[in-house]
Formats: sequence, structure tokens, C-alpha cells
Amino acid sequence: MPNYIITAEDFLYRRFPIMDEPRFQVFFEIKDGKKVPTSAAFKTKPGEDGLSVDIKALTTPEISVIDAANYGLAEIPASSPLGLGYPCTHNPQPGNNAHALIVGDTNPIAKKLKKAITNVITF
Amino acid sequence: MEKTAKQITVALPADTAMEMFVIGATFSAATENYHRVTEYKTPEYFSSSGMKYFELNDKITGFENLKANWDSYNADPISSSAITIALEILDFLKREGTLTSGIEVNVFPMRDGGIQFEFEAENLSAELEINPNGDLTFILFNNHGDIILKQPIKIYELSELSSYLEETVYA
Repeated sequence: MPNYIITAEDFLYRRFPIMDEPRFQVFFEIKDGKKVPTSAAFKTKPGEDGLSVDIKALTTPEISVIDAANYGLAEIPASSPLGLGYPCTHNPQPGNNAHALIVGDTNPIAKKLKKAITNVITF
Repeated sequence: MEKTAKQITVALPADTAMEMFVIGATFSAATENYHRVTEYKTPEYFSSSGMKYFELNDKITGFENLKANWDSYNADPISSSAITIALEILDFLKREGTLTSGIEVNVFPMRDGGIQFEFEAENLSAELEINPNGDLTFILFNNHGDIILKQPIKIYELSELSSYLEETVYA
């Protein structure tokens, strides 16, 4: 059962692919020598209830990234979507108690979420 | 490639023509048994426009290799329609000189099976989304990432894309 209230003090992890396949960089761009996800990483698909993230306070980067060879983590403050009027709700999944949703269609704020990245974690 | 090489003279049989793309020169020996270098040529793939074009072309065609769930969040494979349209747009951008205009152009797969172009310059931040059906939407942002224009574009009206980009860059 969801029992964690996400506040503006929380931080959220969003996983993004960092593999250089199929041929060149795919879902990220290089900023100051680091792989940073593009806004496309923060866009919901039609039919999705929201954008999947993990609550930093309930997990660790090592667990959240799942596959460190192929994925990195972008860290954003929950204050960003919350401040834009997007509720963030705890949405635990089997095997991932830290899972949460930025509720709604995030396409209109994807660029702002990308700009809100405070840290990029790769292993 | 700069045209600073010395003129050189080479002996060649009459009616011999050869192109030496690697050094960027065209030789011609039509009527004499030796001839001066008459033309310098930079192969397309050596120009900055050509390099960028081939880089993005490779990237776009490579998107067909992305399998379902390629982002670990259930992303869809990239549709063949989106790839076809993206390559058409890339050709258009090359013809228009956008790839060497000072605008940083990049392209990324989208989670819904579409493709997005990104255009960044000092006072420009824009995206062109291609949805899985091949439909286009141009999105212009301000410096804070707020959407200030969202406009459908037809593939046969790509001149509108150039207009939006130029108007913003030179505003």
C-alpha cells in the first residue's frame, strides 16, 4: 500500500539508457563530459497514467539503476513537477517499493524536467 | 579543406581523367600529356555538413534496432514510418543548410515509437516530434523550457520549419 507522501523536499530518480548502441548515443547527449538524458526521457506515452520514477529516500542508486552497464540515473527534485501542478504519488510495485508516478501527461513539462536535473549518476 | 596546396604538374597519358578525392583535387588530362590541377573538390563526407548528415543518418537508421522496452520503462520500438519521415527531414535540413547554420541539431528516439529532432542555439530551443504515424509537431521553448509555440507541420510544408528556426535564431 502506498504510504509515503512525496514532498518538495524529496528527490526522484529516472532511469535512462546510456548504451552507445545501436550505433551512436541514443537517448542522451553529452553535457560537460557527462551523459545527460534528453527531454524524450521524461515524456509519457499515450495511455500511461504518469511517468515512472523512484523515490530517492526509499532506494539506493545501485538498486534503482537495475542494470548499471546499460543505464544511468537522472535525479530531479520533486519540487519541480509539484511546482508545475503535477502530483507525485507513491506507487509501489512488486520488487520495487520505491516506485512512484509523476501523475499525468508529462509531455508539456518534459523540457522543464530535463532542465531540473540536479545530478546524473552512472557507474 | 582550404585551397592552399601548390599547383602541381603531373604527367599523364592523353584522355586520362582521374579524381583524387582523398587529397581533394581533380586532375584532368584531356588534350595534353600533362595538365595542371584544375579543380579542388572536398568530398561530401569530409565537409562539416556531410559529417553531421552521415552521423545523424546512421543514428536514425540505427533506431530500427531498438527492441520493445529499450528504455526499461516499456518503450515501443521505433516505427518504420517515423524513420522514413526522419530521413526525409534530415535531407531537407541538409539542403537548407541547417546542419551548418550554427544550430546544433540532434535526433533521439521517443518512447512512443516516434523520433524527435532537437534544435539548440544561443536563443533557440526547439523540438520537432515525429509520432509513430509520421505526423509532425513543431515545439518552440523559451529559456525556461516553457512551450511558447506548438504547431503541427505537414511533411510537404517543411519550409515552415525553416521559417520557425530562422525567425527565432535571428529574432
